[in-house]
Amino acid sequence: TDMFDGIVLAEERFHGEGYQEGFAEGSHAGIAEGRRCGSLHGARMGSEIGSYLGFALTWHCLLQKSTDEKNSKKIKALDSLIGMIQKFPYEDPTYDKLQEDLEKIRGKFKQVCSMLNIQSDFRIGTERSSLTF
Amino acid sequence: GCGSSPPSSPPCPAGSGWTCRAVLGDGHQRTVRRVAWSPCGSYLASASFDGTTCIWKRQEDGFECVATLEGHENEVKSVAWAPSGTLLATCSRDKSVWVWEVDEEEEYECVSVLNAHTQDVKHVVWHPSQELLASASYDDTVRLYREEEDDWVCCATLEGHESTVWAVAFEKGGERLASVSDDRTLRVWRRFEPGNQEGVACSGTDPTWKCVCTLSGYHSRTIYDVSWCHLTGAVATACGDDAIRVFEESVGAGWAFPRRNFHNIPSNLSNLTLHCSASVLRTSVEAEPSLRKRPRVSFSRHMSLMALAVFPVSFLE
Repeated sequence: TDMFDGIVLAEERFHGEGYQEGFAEGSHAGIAEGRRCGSLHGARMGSEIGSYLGFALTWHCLLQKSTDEKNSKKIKALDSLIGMIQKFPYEDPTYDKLQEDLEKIRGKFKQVCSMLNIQSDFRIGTERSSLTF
Repeated sequence: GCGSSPPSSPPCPAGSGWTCRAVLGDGHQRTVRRVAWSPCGSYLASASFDGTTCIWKRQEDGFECVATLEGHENEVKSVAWAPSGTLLATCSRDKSVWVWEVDEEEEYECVSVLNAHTQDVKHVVWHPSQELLASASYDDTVRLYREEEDDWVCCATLEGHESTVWAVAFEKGGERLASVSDDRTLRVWRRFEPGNQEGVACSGTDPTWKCVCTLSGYHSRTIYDVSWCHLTGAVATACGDDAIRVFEESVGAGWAFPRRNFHNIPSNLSNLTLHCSASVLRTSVEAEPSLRKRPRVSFSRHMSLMALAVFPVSFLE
């Protein structure tokens, strides 16, 4: 081996070593941040769906006690919502229909609110109004 | 409840034949964007930017608001009655389409909230004879919905437009629909049932809708509305270039190309685009002998006939 190799290839070697160290450090930091991010999104989604579930179970219970026959449609819709939530794979972020199923749950929740005459929290006033046709 | 007030403006000039019978001014707090008569004619639905849809019942002395459909998060853009008269659809900037049902006691109930679109939904329209709903959106798609086991589902997504789809219209028989867009094209879509002879693939039991005709080059601005006449089959468009255009399908040439000229095309139908260019008027109908081995399908005759419907000029042939 050329006795000057050590000197001539020094830059390349240090570059390589530096890259490896940086990569490892970055991966570490990335994993930590990704975990925080995932945790945040997961919590948001979980709390949204959890609130729908609590709401649905409560109303289901309340309506069972009532003898009004008009309630059968409402109970059916509540059953449907509860079923969708229970089937939702909330521990699998890679589920390919995650967004689609979430939208279906939201839609069913809105429908149930409409049937129960409850205003789900969205109000016109909070948004900037738009005049696009 | 809301009632109607007598008209305060002076009566129409004699001979015009129209009088203002009612002004329903108390129903909404913002722009009223769409109105629709029920099939039976006794009810009028009004969709408003205030997020509500009012149902007005015709009385001897005017109209009475018998229901207010609430639930949309923001501006309601369209409302439409199904031919049966028992279903209504509304759509909104909140990206959702709502289906409502009315019972014998005039009680309205939401039967489904459909979140299939990813942007503002501009228009909803029902199939002329089936309980099939179509919606047009800022997300460049048209979606179709039907009832499946007590719930409504999106059964088809029509992609192809390159910008906001403003309106949709079904043909009388309901086998085709026309859509118009901010991309300045009018597209005709056709339904293909599973097992169709043209070899169009379908998933499961749902039919597939394919774009069989794209009319581009006719409109120089956004097309806002389309109407398909159920008597004559003519299609009219409303355009931002201040013009109304009427398109007619020629007997023989037609839009459903697979029926006539394309026996050997592969099973995935090519999207046929007719372009209107300056050379249409100069393109001769008679082609010179073709030097190519395969006969060339000439669109010029089709285009000439189409152009004839639009521009009243005479052609050489």
